[in-house]
Amino acid sequence: MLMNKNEYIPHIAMIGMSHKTAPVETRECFSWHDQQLVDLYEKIRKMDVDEAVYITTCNRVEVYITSADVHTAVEELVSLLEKYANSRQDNLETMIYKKYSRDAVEQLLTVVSSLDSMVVGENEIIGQVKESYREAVQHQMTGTVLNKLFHQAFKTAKRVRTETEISRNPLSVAYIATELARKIFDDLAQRNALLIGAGEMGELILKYMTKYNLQEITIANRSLHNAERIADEINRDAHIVSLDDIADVAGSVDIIISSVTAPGYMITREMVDDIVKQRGSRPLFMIDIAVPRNIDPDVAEKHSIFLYNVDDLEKIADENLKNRLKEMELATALIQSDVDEFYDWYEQLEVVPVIVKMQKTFENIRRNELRKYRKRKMKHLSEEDFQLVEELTSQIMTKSLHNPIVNLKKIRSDHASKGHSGKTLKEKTRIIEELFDS
Amino acid sequence: MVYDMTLGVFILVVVLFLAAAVTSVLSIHSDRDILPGMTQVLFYMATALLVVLGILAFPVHSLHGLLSISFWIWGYFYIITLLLALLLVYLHLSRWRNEWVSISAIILPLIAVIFLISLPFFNSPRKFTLVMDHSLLPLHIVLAVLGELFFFLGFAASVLYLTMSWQLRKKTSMKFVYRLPSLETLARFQDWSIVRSFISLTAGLVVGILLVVLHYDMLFLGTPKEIMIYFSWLIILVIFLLKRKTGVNEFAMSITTIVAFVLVLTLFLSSSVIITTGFHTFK
Repeated sequence: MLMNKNEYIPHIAMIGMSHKTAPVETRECFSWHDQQLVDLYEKIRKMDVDEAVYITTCNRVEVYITSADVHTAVEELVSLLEKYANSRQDNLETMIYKKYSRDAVEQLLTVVSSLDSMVVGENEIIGQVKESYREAVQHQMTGTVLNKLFHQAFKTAKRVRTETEISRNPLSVAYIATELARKIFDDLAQRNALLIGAGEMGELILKYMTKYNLQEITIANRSLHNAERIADEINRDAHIVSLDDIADVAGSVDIIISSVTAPGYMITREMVDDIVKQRGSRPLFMIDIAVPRNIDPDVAEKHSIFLYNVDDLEKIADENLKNRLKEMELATALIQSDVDEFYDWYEQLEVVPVIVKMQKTFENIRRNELRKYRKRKMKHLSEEDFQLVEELTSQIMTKSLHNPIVNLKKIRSDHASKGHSGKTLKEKTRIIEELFDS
Repeated sequence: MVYDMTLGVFILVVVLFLAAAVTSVLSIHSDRDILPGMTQVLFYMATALLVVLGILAFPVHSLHGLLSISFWIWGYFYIITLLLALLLVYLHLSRWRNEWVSISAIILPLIAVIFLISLPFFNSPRKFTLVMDHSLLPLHIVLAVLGELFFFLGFAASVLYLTMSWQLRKKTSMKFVYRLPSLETLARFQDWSIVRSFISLTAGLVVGILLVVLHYDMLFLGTPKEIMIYFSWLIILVIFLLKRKTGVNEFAMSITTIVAFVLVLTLFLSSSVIITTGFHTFK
């Protein structure tokens, strides 16, 4: 959009606020969709902005733009957000971060790769950003630079997900318990589970496990009403028994989740000895999330018993988080290399107008001269022969321009690597451009 | 010239199996998606070259010629390696496909080691003196070797079972737990291997007895190799029966299988390499 329009190099910038800088009550003011988004893009269109993508997720609101004068555009955007926020938010500006050029590119790649997420390595962010980008495309707010940038960001996110272990290893206790069950048993669809008590965490674990179609569920609780409520929620034909019947049921289940408030152990060593006698060597997965504990820890001495208490599950979650954070270093390196790749492409844009001008000038000369010669000195040539001349001159022109174009690109890269200011490069390209002015 | 080329291919096969072994072990220590794929490529390249090596080393034109491979001590190692590689190919194509990466992390290093052990015998003149010539002989050799190799798979499953069980009890991160098959899957694979091991070895021994009866008109000659193979069969029989017993402790079963495998492997290697007396040893 922009390259055809003005033939200048756009500058990239972004502004945003996230869970790290603004509370949810501020962020929710900017969670715009549908008509609100149409209005917003309409207002942005009136600013000195060429391209824009508005990203909104549960934890962040960010706007990426390109503009010839990004600093002014960014200030206009901040004012716009302040206007939307009204008097509901004081000090909005302190909650907003602004990033320019390479930093803005790096920010997007970091966000999409979920390195800046509340739960590092979560997978939802990529879908949310894709949705925001799709909306921007629908509103015709993107062009050469942001299209390339967002595609690069999605590519990087995929690399980070597949080339590092950042997204592996679950962090929620309920999910960990379910995954452990899947690593003990072949197929959860053929397993029976017993939930003791109506604690929130126990219910959540059971809900996770029912996604794998547990064969039979039994709920043991003091209050029949609560047990029925859970049975209704998990949408299953669960059997409901009283706490006194646990010993009778426990022998026929493969998974026991216990979260009842009781002064002593609900499941004692003697009870487990009987269960093991009934079950033989088949593994029994026991999750004790009650405090004080419901299951005698000594039962874990038996090889077929896999007992986890709340501390065990939280320890695994912490360890998994540490593993994810360790992978951040690798992911950051990947992001840096992709930022470099994008920036190489982006900086080439600076010399593109000069290259185009050079090619156009030479092409015009070639065509004009050929036309003249075709009318006079090459009149006698057949169409076939003239075609050959046309090809020959085109080849000569391409080869003559090859070295200047390559060297021009090289000047730009040298410039970037030596850290010279963009002003000097602009000066040089302006001189070259003027050489071809008619 | 041909010898140099054969030796060159032999070294290449060893290197490829070693490389496949390294990537297979790494693939259960890391989630890098490239590693299982690399293991498969290296393994299939090594297996293809192993077949080429066989063609170069043993230019056979008949079934009898094929049989004669195992009469040469290095050829015997070659047959074992080839059958083991083919078993891995079979596992890759069978219902154990999902567990292939974990299983190969135990088997591939051992294939590489077995083939490396064969290096000193590469040009060894030690041969098996053929005293009987019967079409059932290849069947006896293949079935007996397969019986031992299936037991090797049972050993791999037992090692993985103990590792997984230990990891689940360690209650730290799930990094390793994620990459191994479930405990029940491993117990099933162990059972699958032991059943096949017992059937193959029993069938191999029955054919062997038949051959001895046909040739010597006796059931048992009492040679050291015969004694050792019967002893191996007894060990596998005990494991087979224990597995059939209801309520068997899988943890204890895995330890027993590992100990039994070490015993069977020792008997196998000593009867094949160290012992030189008796009618079917490498002299």
